[in-house]
Amino acid sequence: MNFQDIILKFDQYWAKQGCAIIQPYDLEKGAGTFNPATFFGSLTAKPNRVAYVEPCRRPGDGRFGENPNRLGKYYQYQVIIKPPSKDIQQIYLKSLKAVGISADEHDIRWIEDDWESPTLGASGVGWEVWLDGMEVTQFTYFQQMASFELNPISVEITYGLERLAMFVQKKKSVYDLMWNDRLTYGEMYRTQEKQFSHYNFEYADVANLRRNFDDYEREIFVLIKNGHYLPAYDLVMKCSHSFNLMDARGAISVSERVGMIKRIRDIAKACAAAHVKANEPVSISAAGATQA
Amino acid sequence: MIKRDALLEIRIENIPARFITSAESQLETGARELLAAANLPFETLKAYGTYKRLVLHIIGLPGKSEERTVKAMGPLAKFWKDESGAYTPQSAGFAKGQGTTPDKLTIETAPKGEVLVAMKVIPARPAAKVLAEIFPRLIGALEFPKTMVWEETRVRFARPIRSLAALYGEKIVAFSFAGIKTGRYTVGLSAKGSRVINIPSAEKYLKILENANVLVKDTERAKALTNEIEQVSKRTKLEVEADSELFNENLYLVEYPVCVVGTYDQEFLKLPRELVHLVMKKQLKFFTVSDSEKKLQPYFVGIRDGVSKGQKNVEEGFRNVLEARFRDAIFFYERDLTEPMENMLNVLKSVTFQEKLGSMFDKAGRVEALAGWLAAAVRGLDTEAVRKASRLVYADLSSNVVREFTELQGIMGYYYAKNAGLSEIAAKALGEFYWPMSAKSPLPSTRESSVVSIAGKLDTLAADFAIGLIPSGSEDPHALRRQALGLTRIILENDLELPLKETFSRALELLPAKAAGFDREKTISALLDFTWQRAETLFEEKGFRFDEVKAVKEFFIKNADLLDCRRRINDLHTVRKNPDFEALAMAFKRAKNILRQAKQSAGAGPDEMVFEKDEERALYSGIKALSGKLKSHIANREYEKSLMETVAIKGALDSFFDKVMVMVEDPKVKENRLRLIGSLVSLFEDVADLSQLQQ
Repeated sequence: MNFQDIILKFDQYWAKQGCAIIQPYDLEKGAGTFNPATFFGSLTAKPNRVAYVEPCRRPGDGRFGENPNRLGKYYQYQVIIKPPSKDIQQIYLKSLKAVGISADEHDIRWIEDDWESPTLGASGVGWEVWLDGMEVTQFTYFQQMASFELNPISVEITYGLERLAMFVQKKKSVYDLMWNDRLTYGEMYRTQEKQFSHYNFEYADVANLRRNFDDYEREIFVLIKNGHYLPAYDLVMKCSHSFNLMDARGAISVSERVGMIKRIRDIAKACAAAHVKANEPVSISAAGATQA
Repeated sequence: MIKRDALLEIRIENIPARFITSAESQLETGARELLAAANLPFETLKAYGTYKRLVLHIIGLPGKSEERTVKAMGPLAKFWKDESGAYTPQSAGFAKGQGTTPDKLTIETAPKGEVLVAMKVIPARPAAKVLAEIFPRLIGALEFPKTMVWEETRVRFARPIRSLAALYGEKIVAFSFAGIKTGRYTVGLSAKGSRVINIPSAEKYLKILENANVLVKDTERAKALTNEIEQVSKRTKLEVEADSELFNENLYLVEYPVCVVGTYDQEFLKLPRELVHLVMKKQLKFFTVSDSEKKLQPYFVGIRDGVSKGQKNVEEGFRNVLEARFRDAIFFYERDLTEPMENMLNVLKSVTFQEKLGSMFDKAGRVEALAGWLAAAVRGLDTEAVRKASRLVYADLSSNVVREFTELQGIMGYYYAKNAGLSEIAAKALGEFYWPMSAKSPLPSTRESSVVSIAGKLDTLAADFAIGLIPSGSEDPHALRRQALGLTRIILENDLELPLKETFSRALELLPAKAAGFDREKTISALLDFTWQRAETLFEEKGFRFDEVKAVKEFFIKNADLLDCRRRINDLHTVRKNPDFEALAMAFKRAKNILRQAKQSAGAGPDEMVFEKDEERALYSGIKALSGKLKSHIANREYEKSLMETVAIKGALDSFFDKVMVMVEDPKVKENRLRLIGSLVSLFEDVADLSQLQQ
């Protein structure tokens, strides 16, 4: 099954499960969790079912196009089901069937992995799903987002599309993946991997990135004061990406790291709080406080 | 009455392996308590667990709990009836509360006097009703290292509960928990699609599941897994390497174990053994295989959950994942082998250790200097090996392999050192640099390794304490507690004569200018205190009592000599067995208390002219006689001898306390007697602070 067909099959399957098939968010981010549909979507009491492809950037993971398994830019397929149905595990397993993977012909293992994002102040309880030993999905019941206890809980199902495709197509290198009948992944992305790896590790302007981070941070608080938390959150994502780039450049020391992560967590929390206040003044409360 | 079995199955989404055995024993203990409290007897009960079900099976329950009469004590008997002979409100109220009437009350004598007594009959209840109360309480009481919320009732549990089967005989035990109503169904193997299975009765549960290839019983599953592994060994004519931790982990990742065996490319055996183990066992949960000479063979054994369909797929998948990781590893390893260790070390110039403490390269320099200084102080060392090794302890941190697999720091240092031509001893010092890895792990195996390892720990401790990064509560990012414990263990096990004050002082001297501005004396004190806390734990683990350890603390603070302190504690521990000594120690404590209350400090000895009683003279004579003997014993560190000699003073001391009052009116006499006691106390104080000893 070609890469693009896997996406089409997932879109069809999850649409059948009642998910709105939306498009990725147009800013750099490290994971589908950062998409406002997930970040803000998990915060209110409003039910939510969405699915989308999310291109992700992880500057530190680039390998100049030389490593057959590691990429600095890749695609996640992200599903949010809120609240989760009782048979959500089965529904996920059936999604694998939709792309040709039968549970009884393979070894499907759920390995304990409680996911956490210190920058988003988010945490969940869940698993890595292994397909014949290869991790292809992160399955998480969110418990907290931006330091808020969640109610109801959202299930996040994140597939690593390249991994899954390599499994389905039985390829040993990501660059050999067939995107469609004519194009390989390598033709499309090898040069990108090379150039971006050089940029991420060698050329990104650290002084600029630092300045940007500080400028965005300042602007965020001004925007939130005026109730514009959505544009503010865009800047949070930009801060997070700047951090990832500085990190890949080796510009962040061990002691600095903790401080910066906290800064991102604080701006994310400010946006979340504004959103919660604007949408549900009497519903969700920050971890620790009692409900109004 | 016919006895039936009861069954509770909590079906959950994949629960972490490490939660399961504790949950099983909690179910058993909790059930025993609750059944006893409800007067529902049973023959036996047992809990079982897999990654998707926690099961409690109770055998031989009667249809009804046993009726029981409970005695309740009520108000005083005088409140039973009033003058007119009618029952008072108190007695009526009490009786009603116990489910009876005032005329049925009796009188008994209690500590507070004669009281009214009601016999409350707790009737027999149907077992199913009793269980309907017990089961949800059991489930709710289960504790896990981590819990989560997943539905509206916001019950917390380890993982989402998806069904509850609860039966007494054929009857469903009806209750609800976490929004789920009990029933009589469960599901089969995940690999077979988790198909619904109906349970007609509690007695039939285990057999039905076994027929569906679900091995609920831990012991049976373990037997099956052992068999499977043995078969593999037989078939391949090799040995699947035993690993009880890995075995247990796999045991709780499957409901029906099936081995998947495959091979991998020979060339990956070039990799260091520890790396192969890390990838195969830790990362992929595969068993490794070796021949009769314990040499690793290119086979992997993975454990699959149920069914043999698609075995080839799984084997291929496992091999692909394994080889992909190995390929990365070999790529990194071969690159590293061509890199001179000096280059690896130089890269550390741009790796910060801590903002005020400079780079890892700087740290390496300090460790090298410290190791050289230590090596001069310790006899019989291969100083060349120590010199070469101590320079390169951190070099492997910038290697590709360690950057990828951080757990292999130190270990890879060994291989790179051997590759670079260093001696086995020097290479081992690199490999064992971070030892011990935990409280009970092995210590560095040679004196050279020990010295190099200590140098590293000393620098980390001194550096962090100098800039105030002192561990508190759960905050200990540089694992200073482990470093200090390791330091202490190494010194004690190797009998290393290390004056810690000087040693820490030396380490502090080497710190960069940026870290200056700390109070040297205070920092050394803090370091010694921190080290002593670890030593305390070690001594207590060795069987010394906490008060013996406390009695020696001040000597550590003064001399910072761990070996000497151990000798003192040991000798004190031995001498204590003598009953005379124990009594003497109590008398000494009393003496010290007198001094403290009188606010008397050590000073000149007493004036013999001022003595009034014989007992004073006898005591002082004894003290003088002992003084000289003790001084020589202590100089030779013969603490046991010293303490035993002091027992001789017991008679004179007892008489003194019997016949002589210290706190008399006459200030001159009082002062003199206090001085006498002072001189007694100073006899003992050179070995240990006996006032710390408790009965």
